[in-house]
Amino acid sequence: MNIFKTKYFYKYSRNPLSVIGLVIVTIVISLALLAPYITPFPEHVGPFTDFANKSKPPSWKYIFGTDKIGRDIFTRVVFGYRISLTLGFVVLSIAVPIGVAMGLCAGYIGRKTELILMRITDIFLAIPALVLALSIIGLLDRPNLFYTMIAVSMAWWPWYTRLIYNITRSIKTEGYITAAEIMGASKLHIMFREILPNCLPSLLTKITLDLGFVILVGSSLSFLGLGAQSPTPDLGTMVAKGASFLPDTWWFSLFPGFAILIIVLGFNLVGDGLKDMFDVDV
Amino acid sequence: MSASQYFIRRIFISVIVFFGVSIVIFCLARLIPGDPARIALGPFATKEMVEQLRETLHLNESIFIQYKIFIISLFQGDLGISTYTKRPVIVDIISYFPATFELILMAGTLMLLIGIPLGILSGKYKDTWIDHIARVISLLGVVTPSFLWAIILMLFFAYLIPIFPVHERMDETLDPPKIVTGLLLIDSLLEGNFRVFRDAFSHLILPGFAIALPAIGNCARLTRTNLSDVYEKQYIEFARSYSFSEFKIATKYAFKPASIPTVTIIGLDFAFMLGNAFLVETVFVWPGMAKYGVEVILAKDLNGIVATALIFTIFFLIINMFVDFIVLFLNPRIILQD
Amino acid sequence: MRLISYFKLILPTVLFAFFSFSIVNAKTVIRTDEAAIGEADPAKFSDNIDSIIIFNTYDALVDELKNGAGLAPHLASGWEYADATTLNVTLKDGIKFHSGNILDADDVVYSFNRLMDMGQGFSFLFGTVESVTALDSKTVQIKTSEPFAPLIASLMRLAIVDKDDVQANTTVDGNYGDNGDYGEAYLLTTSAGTGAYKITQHDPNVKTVLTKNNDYFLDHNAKAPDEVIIKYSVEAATIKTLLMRGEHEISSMWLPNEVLAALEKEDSVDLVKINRPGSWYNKLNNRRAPLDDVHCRRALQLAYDYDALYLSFAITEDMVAGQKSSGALISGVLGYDPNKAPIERDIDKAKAELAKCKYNPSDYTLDLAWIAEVPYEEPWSLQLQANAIELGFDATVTGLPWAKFTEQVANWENTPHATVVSVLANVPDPDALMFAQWHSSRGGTWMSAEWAQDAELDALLEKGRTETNADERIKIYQAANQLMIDNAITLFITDFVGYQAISQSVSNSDTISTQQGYGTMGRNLSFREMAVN
Repeated sequence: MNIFKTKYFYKYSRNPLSVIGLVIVTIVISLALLAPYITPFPEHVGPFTDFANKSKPPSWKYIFGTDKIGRDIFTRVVFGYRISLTLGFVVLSIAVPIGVAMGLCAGYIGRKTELILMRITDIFLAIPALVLALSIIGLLDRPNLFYTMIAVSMAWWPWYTRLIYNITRSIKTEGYITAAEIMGASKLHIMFREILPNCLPSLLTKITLDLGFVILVGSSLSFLGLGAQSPTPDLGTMVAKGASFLPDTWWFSLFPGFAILIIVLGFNLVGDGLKDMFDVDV
Repeated sequence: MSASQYFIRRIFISVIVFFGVSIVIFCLARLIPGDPARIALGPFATKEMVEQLRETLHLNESIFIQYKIFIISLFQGDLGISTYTKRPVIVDIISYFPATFELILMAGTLMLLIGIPLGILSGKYKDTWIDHIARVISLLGVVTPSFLWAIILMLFFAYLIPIFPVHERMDETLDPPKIVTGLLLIDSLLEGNFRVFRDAFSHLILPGFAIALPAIGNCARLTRTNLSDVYEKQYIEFARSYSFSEFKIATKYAFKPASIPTVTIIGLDFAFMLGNAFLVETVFVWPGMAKYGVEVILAKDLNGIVATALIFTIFFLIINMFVDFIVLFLNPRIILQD
Repeated sequence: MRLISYFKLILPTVLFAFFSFSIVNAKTVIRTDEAAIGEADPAKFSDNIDSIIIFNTYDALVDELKNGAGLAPHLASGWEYADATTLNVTLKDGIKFHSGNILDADDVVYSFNRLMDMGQGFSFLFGTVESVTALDSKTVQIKTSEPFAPLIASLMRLAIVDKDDVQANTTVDGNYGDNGDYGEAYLLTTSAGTGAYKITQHDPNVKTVLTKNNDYFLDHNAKAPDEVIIKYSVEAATIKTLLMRGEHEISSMWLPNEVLAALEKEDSVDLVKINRPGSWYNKLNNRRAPLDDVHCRRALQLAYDYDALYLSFAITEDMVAGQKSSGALISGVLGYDPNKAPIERDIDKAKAELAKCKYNPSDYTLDLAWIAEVPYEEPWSLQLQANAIELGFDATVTGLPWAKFTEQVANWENTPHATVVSVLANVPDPDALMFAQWHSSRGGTWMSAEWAQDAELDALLEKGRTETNADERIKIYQAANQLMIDNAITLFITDFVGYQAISQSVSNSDTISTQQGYGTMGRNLSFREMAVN
């Protein structure tokens, strides 16, 4: 089945912005996957120094210029996308299952389970995401990408719980649910085979939108010094380190900064497109 | 139930949440490897001194006792000594929180003053070029990280076209006003000192915008969506058929229901802005709670971390309650529903 | 004359007088910046910024003379060794504290006891001092347990506090038993010293304001600033803008090279080169495998690319903020030999040494660290990583926040294999630099992340401490230096060459000679000796 011919894609492509978003996301993901083959200086991503060429402005050889250690910024930005995308996917693959499971249980089983689960969720929601993530990581041994991912996941799952909880509550009185109950279906079956599929449009939309925001929060954390360790290229860290050198060596910060902007924009546009297509509200 | 019952119920829930948060942060802060006493005293202190400090800080006791002591001290207004600034945390909070609060207020004002009208414009002239431009602006606002905005604003308005200052709250050649609220804008007005007022205001602009821009974008988009949803509703058409003026329709019939989800999201946006405050305060060297929070986290100052997290949580809870009440005011049916 | 014309005459005159009065009396300010946190308590101060504050607000018995001319009495009028372990110091008359109290021997005894009881800051310098007693109101006697050559130099770090003032402001509730809080809270915001400036405002994380003390026992420069504002942790880019706009006078010495290069082109800003007795080291952990084997350490020492490091110090073609090191003895410290050849890379010799090492490099991942708050240390760590990988090791690089580093360094298993640290001599004596870092009894502090345990080195350092003949001491320390190089105890990145950017409003021979004239850490920003144009 040609995906471009489905009614979904038709609806999606009515909005030119959504298509642009899809293009952006596709390009970024391809860049990230093909990084070692398409970048001019892949060895600049590892332990490499070339002080003779440090702090050079953008030129034909170094498209985005070089940093203080003489490494090509363009190469590092492309590899930086790998880190950002990994962060996004890993965080959501942890946060979404936890959040969805809790939301389903709280919404459907109700009573005490609901009370406890939702209060826990409220507590985690009450702490602003960045604060929570910062507190978790900052206290750990050596800040690195792995801990960042754990911390951001911890801050993220409550949003999924709330989303799924709201949807579950609104559809649990629907006819087909009651029918399944009468037929003796187990709670687990109802939650995962009846309710969950109906959550999928909202879930998918939210996940897409969130990918952008997780990358944003992740780059904010690395901006504060809690991201991937040198010499691994991390977009937020690159912006942070370059910020002290404005405006003379403006290329240190600006290119990684715009790289973050583009990927977040891409996911946002796609998410918006999905939102319009499925006609949901997340 | 009546409004006061609702009020009490909300406070009760908030208090429970607050304690829950305090437990979570407290445990996080203490279950991590590392000796706060050693860090506080520095590398040259003897082992005996470190042990002595550990006793004083009750670090050798069980976590339950430590939490109990923490809560008791909390109610006495004692949040412990910061091992980072080496003075009582309360003193740190009193000196840094007003700065952040003023910044958030400025950002919040900008968000409402620019975000809502932008959204209304967008919604009213939906799908015209006005709408498209406004949407692009909002979108850019939302997807650009605050620290990038801070850098862009700095580059533009401080280096290229130097009209705004980029550091701290006030020019230090000027004498600060007497501290009443800690908010420079208010304190300087109280004194009638307009020079300081203008100076403090110009210092607030760039960081305020850096924090507000994502929230402006968000606010504009939501206002637009809600407004256009409402405008499509039948009772608006109905009102039009009665020849009510557009203005009357906009303010009496459309705005109130449209603003409920907007107000809710604005509340959430405040939390969002609190998070951004960390980044922007670092870039603009703003002597606020968020910059202190980052430094205290990096320095593993347990008391400082716990205090910062709790302050932000309280702030957030209060905003949420405030938002809930405005929503109540706009739509009294909510109380009756429960 | 009619009343109105009378006023027309008087009013301008009054206004003119008023404005010229305020112009004439406009206070002069020097604004400078440094990394947080500024410690104002003389018993707790330990690093550069603390020293700047303390040297301006307090005084010690001994002071450094300008341009390397040695040490001279300061609060003291003179001193004399009664025997090898007893030093008698006489005090000057009529010196006043900021409170108005007169300085006497009791204050000295109190200050010493306070420093040692609190056990922080520079208390470690006085480990061999057994007692400090007041023989009379003007004489103090210091007894040591064995001959201690660096004693006089160390006295520079004993800031004298106003005993009566501090005791009057001590709270009973504190960590020091009968002494309550020892005036800790009071000294957080007030200077109870004799110094040329007083603290009028102090927020250790934001800024400190100092005001001229007109009752100071020595003279201020006629054009010394009335007020000094020290700001903490301001971004380099901001400092640059402020300097260019004339809103800042003296920068810290931590400006990154790119910013210095940009400032060099500005007419309104001058760059002052500062040589300081200090170095950047990549401290090798001597106890952790594989670096507990001297051959592996030598391999790293010979593989480190010192030429590449030199390139990384370059600000412009002519300004290089660094120089190749010839070991632990540096310019300004007794025993420095300007003709000694610097340490160079030799990859063949490195591999030969590696072959003799009992460990197999591919079995080990070296844990290399730099201090996160000092971002320009990162390239030097990355360079070591590249060279270590060249030898066949695996290596990771971590930006370690200072607080975590000081905590990890408390035991050798947690100390990184190599950490980039800068050490400035606390007092102008090689013992201060070498004993604290490399004597085996001193492991576990940020200065001694090597955990050195070389018996031969220990013997030399101990001898240097008790030897009273200056020439003999030079020979001892030079032998110690060579031993350190031979056994690759640590890696030397560069001798410290710093540049401070100053605005034209303070650029003159008085200011610059002060900045360049003193070697002790923090002593060179003596504001009373500077001049505002």
